[in-house]
Amino acid sequence: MERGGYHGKVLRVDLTTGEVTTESLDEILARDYVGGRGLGSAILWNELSPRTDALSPQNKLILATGPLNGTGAALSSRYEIVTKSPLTNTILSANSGGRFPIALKRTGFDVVIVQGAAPKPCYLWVDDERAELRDASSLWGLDTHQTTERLLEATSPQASVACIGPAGELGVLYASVMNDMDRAAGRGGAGCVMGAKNLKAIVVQGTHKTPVANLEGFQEARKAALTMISEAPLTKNALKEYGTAVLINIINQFGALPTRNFQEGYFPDADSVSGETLKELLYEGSAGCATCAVACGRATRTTHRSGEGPEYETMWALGPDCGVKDLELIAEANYNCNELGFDSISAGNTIACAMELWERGYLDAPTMDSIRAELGGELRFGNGQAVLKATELIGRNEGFGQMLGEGSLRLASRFGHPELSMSVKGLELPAYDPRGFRSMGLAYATSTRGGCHLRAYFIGPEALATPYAVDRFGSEGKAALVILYQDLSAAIDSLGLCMFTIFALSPEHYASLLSTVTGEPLDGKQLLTIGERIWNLERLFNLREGFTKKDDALPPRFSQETLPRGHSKNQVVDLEPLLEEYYRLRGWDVDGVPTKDKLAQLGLRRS
Amino acid sequence: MAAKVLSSVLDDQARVPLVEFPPQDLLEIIEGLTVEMLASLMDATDLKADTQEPKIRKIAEWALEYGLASVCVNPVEVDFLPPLLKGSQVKECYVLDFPLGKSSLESKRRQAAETVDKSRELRGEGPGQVELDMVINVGRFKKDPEYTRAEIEAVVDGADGELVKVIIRSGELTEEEIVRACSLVKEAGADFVKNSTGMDVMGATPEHLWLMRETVGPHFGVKAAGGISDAMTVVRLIYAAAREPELRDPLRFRIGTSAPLTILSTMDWIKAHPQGWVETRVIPCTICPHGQTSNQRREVREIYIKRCRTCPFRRYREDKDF
Repeated sequence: MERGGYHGKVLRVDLTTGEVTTESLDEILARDYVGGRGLGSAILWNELSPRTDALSPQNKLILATGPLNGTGAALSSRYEIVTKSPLTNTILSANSGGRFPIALKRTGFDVVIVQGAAPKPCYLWVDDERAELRDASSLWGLDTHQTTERLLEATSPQASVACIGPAGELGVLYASVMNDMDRAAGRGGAGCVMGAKNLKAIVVQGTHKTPVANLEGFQEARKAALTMISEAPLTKNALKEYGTAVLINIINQFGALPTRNFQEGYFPDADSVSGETLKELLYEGSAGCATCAVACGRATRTTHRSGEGPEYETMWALGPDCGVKDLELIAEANYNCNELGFDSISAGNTIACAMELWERGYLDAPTMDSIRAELGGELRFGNGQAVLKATELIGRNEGFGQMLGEGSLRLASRFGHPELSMSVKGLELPAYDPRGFRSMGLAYATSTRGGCHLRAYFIGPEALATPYAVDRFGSEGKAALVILYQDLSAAIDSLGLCMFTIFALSPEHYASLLSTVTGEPLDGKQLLTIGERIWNLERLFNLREGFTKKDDALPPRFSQETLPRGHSKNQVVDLEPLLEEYYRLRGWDVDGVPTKDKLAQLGLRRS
Repeated sequence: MAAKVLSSVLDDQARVPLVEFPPQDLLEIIEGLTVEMLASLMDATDLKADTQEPKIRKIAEWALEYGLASVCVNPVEVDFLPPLLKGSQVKECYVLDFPLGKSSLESKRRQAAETVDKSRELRGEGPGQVELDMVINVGRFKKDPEYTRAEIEAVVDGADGELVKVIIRSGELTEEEIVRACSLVKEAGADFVKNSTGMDVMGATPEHLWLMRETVGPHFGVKAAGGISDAMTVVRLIYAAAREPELRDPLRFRIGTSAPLTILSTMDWIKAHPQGWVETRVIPCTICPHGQTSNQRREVREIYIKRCRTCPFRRYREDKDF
């Protein structure tokens, strides 16, 4: 392949037959979808039959790098796992950082496609274009840290490991794929898909350098981007100093920190679980991804254990959302999520849902008795010990943990109250109450993987004044800007860059990085068109799976219950007008289906 | 439009701060504003007490790379800045008697002359490469405007034909005083009137910039400074002080900022969806007088506190109170 940014090779691994083959990367696909999330989604769209069971051997697990991985661009160590989600049945792309993304790129493969299911536990070892499947029977049951240590001993100390823990093996529907110990491709259950395939880990190392077509131009673009990242307040100061948990006090001040399963937006004890307090009590050092100038990750230590995090979303999910203010307990529950291998957002949110079911008396007596026995107490808001114990049960898929491991929607539906699941399309919502941030409601409702903040992080404008402060309760112009953010985010996820670059860079910066690497001219508007194409393809995937307009909805709580206190007091969400405008501006019909004209404009087809 | 908004400019009754702008007018400004043009209007500034040489060198690099109007620094930097910009269109801009303006007339004249001489010696490109941003003595101005005229004339004299901008510290003046100061600046032979040092009580507000432009007319320079760090603020200031496209010229309008790259980057964001950003109503807190009034003299502070009570954006204060 002549273009920079790619090795031009795809590794296909058939776990059923044990066959490992190398294919050429489809150049047109790479041009139209860039890499990472876009390229992975296009491959999944092409190769997966409609309505495939996500946990069947027919589902595919696609690890996709971006053209900027391995180039030395700042914050360029992110990759995507793309698959069909067992939690939501939507398309899923889960993003992670650390060292693994660049190590994967350096193997000489741009993409790894895993299909089928192995007859017994195995792991994939890729060393400089040499790939083989190895037996992992002795690793089955080990946690992610133990697995990583054992695999580095068995392969190479310089290698990088992405693996699942017991949660993935045992079918927790939001099991994550953990790499470099504590980095998570967390959301939506990619680890569960991996477990269903009997694939314990993927271990990679290599020496292939990512080709850059216009080296001089790239160095200029890289320097310009790095300057912006070094100068922007959020990347220069706040995230570097306090990590992502710096947001706890900020979002709480807005009255939009979801508390007790989104029943409130203000947590009086927020400061006890803030990034500032974490730094004071648990902080051991910063933990950055490769090439990162920010290093928002936190190495932490409690009285008994050590690890990384908790990050903002985890801190919130296991803390304020469950009414918990004990920082040590939250940190240890987070260690459980990382070591046993599951998504801390879905876990915390599902526990909070269970707490509300408990407090409202919606659980039956036998279930309550068994929960009491397993958790050593009542499952009430504020019970940090119960949260800690619940994370163990989820990770081991034991007792009540089996129900929690299915996510909040299945749990709440089981007890007749699906409205208490704070999720969209079955994916648990993150840590921004849409009653306090109007655009986030639209972003959640239309997100292609369900309730996710990273598909359009409009918290930048609505809370952090980046690039501009906008009226967080206003609706004018919001649909257009959510679309802008969705399209740009799809592009960023496809380049192999961290989403936090959005606090410092503009669309033109991203376009400049990509065009100098590939050697093909591209401006910001063209990059946004690529993002739009990716977004529409993901939409088509979900429509093919049977999703409709009615799934673009928020939990009824947000339109029916006002927030009782704080700076978002008395607010509710009126989604429908925003959604109508959103469909119109997207070029979709009134049912949210992309029109023929729109698809033709983007070079897409419905099947 | 601006004239309508502020037609009763010196009549305070029922007025609100100029913080809302007609979307179509902003869209027209955005459409006509290229990134290159925006860059050419900016004086990249660093006047902090603890700034060291590497930072000035970095700013000079930015100015050369992006085609900024000038590098604006303290006069002491004249011993190394001129060679960095030699051979380029980028001007050296030095602030005089900064930030209080309390030196004597002769001292101001001497500082101007020394700075110009040193720059010409090191740059070796003759006249036309230096700009001087002087500060008036506001205390004297309030009682004796002729003193201010003499101050400006002294600096113009010392500048030996180089461009002179006069900082009137508008946040310390009533509107009548702003009008009077602007007239004086023009009559005394300077080239630009500038609102703020960036260190006094109020940064660049559109209504002050509008008032300044109204007073000096289209054929005189107006420079906005103080708290300008994003492109939407620049667009709003252009609306106030350079609405006619011919005024968007480095000799007619200038922006002083320590964040030129952020302004350029945020302009890219606007260009990605102008309609969306304009319709969404970017909160104008950075240009709102509220919150900048605590150190003002009573007669000035009361003007803004009274207007804040009727401001449509007042509720955003809640989110800022932490």
